[in-house]
Amino acid sequence: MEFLNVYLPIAEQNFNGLILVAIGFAVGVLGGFFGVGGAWVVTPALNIFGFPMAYAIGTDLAHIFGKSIVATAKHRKMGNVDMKLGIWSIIGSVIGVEAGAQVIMWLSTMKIAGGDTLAGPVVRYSYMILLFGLGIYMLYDYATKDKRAAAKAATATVGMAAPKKAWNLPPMMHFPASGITISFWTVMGVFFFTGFLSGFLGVGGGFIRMPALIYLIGCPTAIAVGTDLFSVLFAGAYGCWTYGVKGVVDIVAAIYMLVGASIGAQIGVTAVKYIRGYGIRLLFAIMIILAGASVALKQFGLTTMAAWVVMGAAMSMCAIIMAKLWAGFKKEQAEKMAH
Amino acid sequence: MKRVWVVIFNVLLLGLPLLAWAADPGEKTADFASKQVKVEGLNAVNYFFASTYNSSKMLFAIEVTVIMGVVGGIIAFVTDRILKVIGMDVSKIEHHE
Repeated sequence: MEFLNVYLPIAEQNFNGLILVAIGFAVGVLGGFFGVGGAWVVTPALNIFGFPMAYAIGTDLAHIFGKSIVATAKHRKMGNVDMKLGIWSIIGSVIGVEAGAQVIMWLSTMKIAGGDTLAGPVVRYSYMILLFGLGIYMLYDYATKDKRAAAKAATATVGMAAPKKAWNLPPMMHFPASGITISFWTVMGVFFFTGFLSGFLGVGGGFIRMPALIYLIGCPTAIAVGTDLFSVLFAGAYGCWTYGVKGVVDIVAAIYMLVGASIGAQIGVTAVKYIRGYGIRLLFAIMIILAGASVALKQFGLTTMAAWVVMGAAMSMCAIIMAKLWAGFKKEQAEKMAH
Repeated sequence: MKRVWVVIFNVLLLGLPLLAWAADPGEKTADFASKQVKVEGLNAVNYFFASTYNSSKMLFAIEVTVIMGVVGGIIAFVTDRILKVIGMDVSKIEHHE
């Protein structure tokens, strides 16, 4: 497979081009299908395949920026952005991304045994907490879905609205497009935290920003989606730039992944039309837990096994989505023929 | 009194991000900031990236950001065209409350 190797001029190493495209492709399919970016696969995967942690994060953020342009085009020019909230999202996210990047660069100056820097284990343990936490939450969500549906139906019958908690520390801000008045600190807290996660872990942060926009800030869902995209676009651009200034973005690797991600995203988005049911979420939860397991394996020195686990989990998930997409497409064709 | 506490709390919260800048990035990231990559034997594309990287990290950062944006835009445009040609339209994603 050496003929597939490409030389990455900034990371100064040979890397299998097919693996780069496959990582991007998997992220694209998962992101397109589940609606969250899926970039949390990229940083661990690049690190497992030999990228130093700072390069993995910088390169991931560069690819996230390129991908967010593609996503923005798909969502048609961000028609649902609350511009005032969007501007504050840029301010909060940029400060957060820079803070996260500064922590990574600081950790990258601290050498530990084995030639690695402190950034490696700190980010890997953070990923383990994030991925295992998210995966277990999704398993719990899946296991209790019937119970919640029954509770929701009962609440709707009684007509009770869930109490909304708000932190009203002044100054208060009003966002007419979303129809909300909320503390400046809640807004800045949400965007700073998600920006920090972007800069620190190399993720888009949509999986936290989206629920926070809806449940904590109180945005309508459509505006939350548009404003999240807007935020990722600028946070990604800033992350790409600041990691570029710090000299840890391998642009060639980012372009390979972006090509894979764009193709994958088209398949993922198309699959949404054909695949129904909650069962696929169970597979997604298992995939997240396997990604967490691969990070743990890397941390404990089992790099080859970690590589197999992360790529096996991601590609299996993609294969299942594509197989279901194909089956759904054939079924639709057969029904059309029958009519 | 409540107003004083609000002001104090606001000042404290505003000061938090400054902790991130307390570390001097110029000194602590010297390894990466002054890093030079090899340019010998590279193909034209890699040579272009590597030589910009060696000459100015700021220029390299601008180059990376612009290229990723442009490549993203081109890919979005091309894939949209291809999908339209094969009769699939997934370019617009609708969101419902």
